[in-house]
Amino acid sequence: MAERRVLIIDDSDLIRMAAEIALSADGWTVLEAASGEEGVEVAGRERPDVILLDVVLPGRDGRETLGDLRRVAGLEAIPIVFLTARSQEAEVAELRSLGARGVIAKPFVPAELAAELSGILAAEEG
Amino acid sequence: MDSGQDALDAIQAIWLRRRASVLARVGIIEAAVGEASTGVLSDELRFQAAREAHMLAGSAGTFGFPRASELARELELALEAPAPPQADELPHLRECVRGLREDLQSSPADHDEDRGDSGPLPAETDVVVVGTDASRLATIAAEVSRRGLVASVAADLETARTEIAQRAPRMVLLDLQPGGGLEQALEFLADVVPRYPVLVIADDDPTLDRVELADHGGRGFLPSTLSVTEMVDSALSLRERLRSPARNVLAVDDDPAVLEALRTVLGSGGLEVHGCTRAADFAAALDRVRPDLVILDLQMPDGDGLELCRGMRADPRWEALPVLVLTASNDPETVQRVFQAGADDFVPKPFVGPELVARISNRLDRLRLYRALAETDHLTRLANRRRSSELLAGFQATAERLGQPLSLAVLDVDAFKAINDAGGHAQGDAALRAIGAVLRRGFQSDDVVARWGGDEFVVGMYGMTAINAAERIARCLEAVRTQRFGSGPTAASVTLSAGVAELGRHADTLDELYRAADEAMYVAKRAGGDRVAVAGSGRVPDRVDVVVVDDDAHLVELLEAALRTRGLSTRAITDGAQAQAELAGEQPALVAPVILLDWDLPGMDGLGVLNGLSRSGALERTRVIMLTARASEQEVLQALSAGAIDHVAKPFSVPVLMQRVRHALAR
Repeated sequence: MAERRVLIIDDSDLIRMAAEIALSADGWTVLEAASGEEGVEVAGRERPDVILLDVVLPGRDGRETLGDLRRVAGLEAIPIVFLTARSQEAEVAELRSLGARGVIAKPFVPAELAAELSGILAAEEG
Repeated sequence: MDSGQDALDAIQAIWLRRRASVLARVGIIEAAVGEASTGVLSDELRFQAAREAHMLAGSAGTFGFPRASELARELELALEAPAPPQADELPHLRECVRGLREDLQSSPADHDEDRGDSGPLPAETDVVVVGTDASRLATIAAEVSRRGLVASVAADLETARTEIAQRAPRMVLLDLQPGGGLEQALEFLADVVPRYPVLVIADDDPTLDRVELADHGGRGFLPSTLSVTEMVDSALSLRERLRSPARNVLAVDDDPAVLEALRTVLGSGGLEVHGCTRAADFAAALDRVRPDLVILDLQMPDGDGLELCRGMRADPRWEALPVLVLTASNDPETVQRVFQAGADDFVPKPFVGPELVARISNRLDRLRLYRALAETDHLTRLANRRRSSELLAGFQATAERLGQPLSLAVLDVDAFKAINDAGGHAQGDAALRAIGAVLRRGFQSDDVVARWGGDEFVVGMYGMTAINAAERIARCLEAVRTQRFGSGPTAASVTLSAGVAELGRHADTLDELYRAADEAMYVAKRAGGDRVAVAGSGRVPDRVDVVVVDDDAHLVELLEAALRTRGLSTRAITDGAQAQAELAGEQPALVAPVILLDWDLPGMDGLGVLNGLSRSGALERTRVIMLTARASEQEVLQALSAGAIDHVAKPFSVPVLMQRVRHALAR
């Protein structure tokens, strides 16, 4: 199976480390960025298979970053999954309407993160 | 499956390393809620706190703290609202912050299984100094800083609470001024002590009752007459003794960057890392640091790490010291050489933080277990004779240097042979275990509690005079008396006799001190057992220490039992006129240092008896404590002006009355 690569954009290094450990245990290669701006730069360079994007970020926030990513040639098709600490239905629906593939609630459970991510990717690929 | 478990372990390791910085974030939220309470919360701090709360809400659950995430969420919503939190929300928000800190300070393991002691928390501040004299606090703090430790000061108890909650210090120094609010201090201790050791600076002032302070968890008394340098020295050495064991690491590596990395990785886990960069300095460093664990680099420019390990193993002092070897190659041949040289474990370089921490904790836990086995009485889990003798010698040195009292109690089970004869040895063991449990609960880590074999127990109490020590022992005797041990029809109770002696007053060496306490214990036994006797208070046959004048038979019985347990002989009189006749004559039939005098009495009321005592001159050698049920404030004042030294309102708690009796006897 080809290498699967995920980029996580989150300003909390604790969350990035936890996600890295949880996902790499499941075979993912994990790329990291601490801000939206850095995320766009890393995504352009590395072309990950999926992007985990925090909603609340300093500078460009998650919603704006999603738009920024969509505007870069070659990145339009990369599925984006939001990480959000506010996972009420209305917000989830709103985030999906922006073009996100899915939404994962924070705090996530490390042991379940990989399955949750795979579930989201599988659900809409078919 | 395994990689999943490894991942979870790694995530926990990250948490442990980052706990200090996470708790600092909680500190910002605490500060914001605190300032909101006083109405001075700036928007800047409020929004910063909201951001911190947001971050915690989104991450704490991932690290095993779902409750902290929920609390942080609530705080975030309240703090980021357009307007600052309203007064009626504040109590709830304070609850949330407290819960948040509590949850985050617990070990994530607490949430699924009990992994036992997770070690001390990493601290951003080492010492918080609390008191009322600002310039003195500043001097103490400066002295603490001079030792390379971080100090902060709080000039009142309220500030102290906030300060301590925010800074999670390793130690709190409480400077108690004479006559200054014992009640407040006790309340403060009750708040703070469960999480932080509090050393108390106090003079021997009767208004600062040491029994009560110790009861509430105050430890390690220091006299306020010490110079600030001596005070800080002593505080640190006492703290050292109270500190959790097995936390010193000696790391030998020629690369200062590796030493620095070890310090960073292990330091936040509560371990103290001492570095050594030359093989030639190793032996001296061992002597100086006396480490609990050694980390050795395999290749040193001036020597071979394995040579050092072999040399160390040849020295009986270090033969059991755990050794971890750092090695760049982990081929089978190297690994074999490492173990042959006497190392306990190896970690491949470059090391990964969590792995190193895990291996070191594992070694230290095992070491602690062995040590505990060698130093503990297996039946009662108290210290054994060898360990307690060492501890006592340490406290003796401190007490003598600081001019503080040190008292020793010897306790012996009454009629232990009869218990064994009646219920067999299982019954006797059950009794000893029950006693061990009571003593463990009654005393703290600045006391030495041990079983010295058979049915004999020993308690050393630093900072306690004999009379204070006797009070604390008496409370244990009362607790033991009410315990049932064993089960079913053979369930029974047990009593103890105890003797107390004070260093410097009754003896000059620990051996003499033990003998004096032991003799006093036999005095208690001969007087009927189930009581404590202080050395040198040899019983004059007809002497009466306390007369109880009260017509409530039940109360009299209760008081006589409590006084007897404290080694005080009593007489009860139930009628006012009779009390007047026996106590207040020209040549009174009964003379006692303390009288407990009820207000409402048949025959003659308490005030009448008091006036009679006053007229006859008896108050010159007797102190009267009035017991008042319905008396008005004016009547109380009347009694005090008629010569009573104290009054206690009924209904009272026995410990409170005993405390007053103790003060009366000491005057």
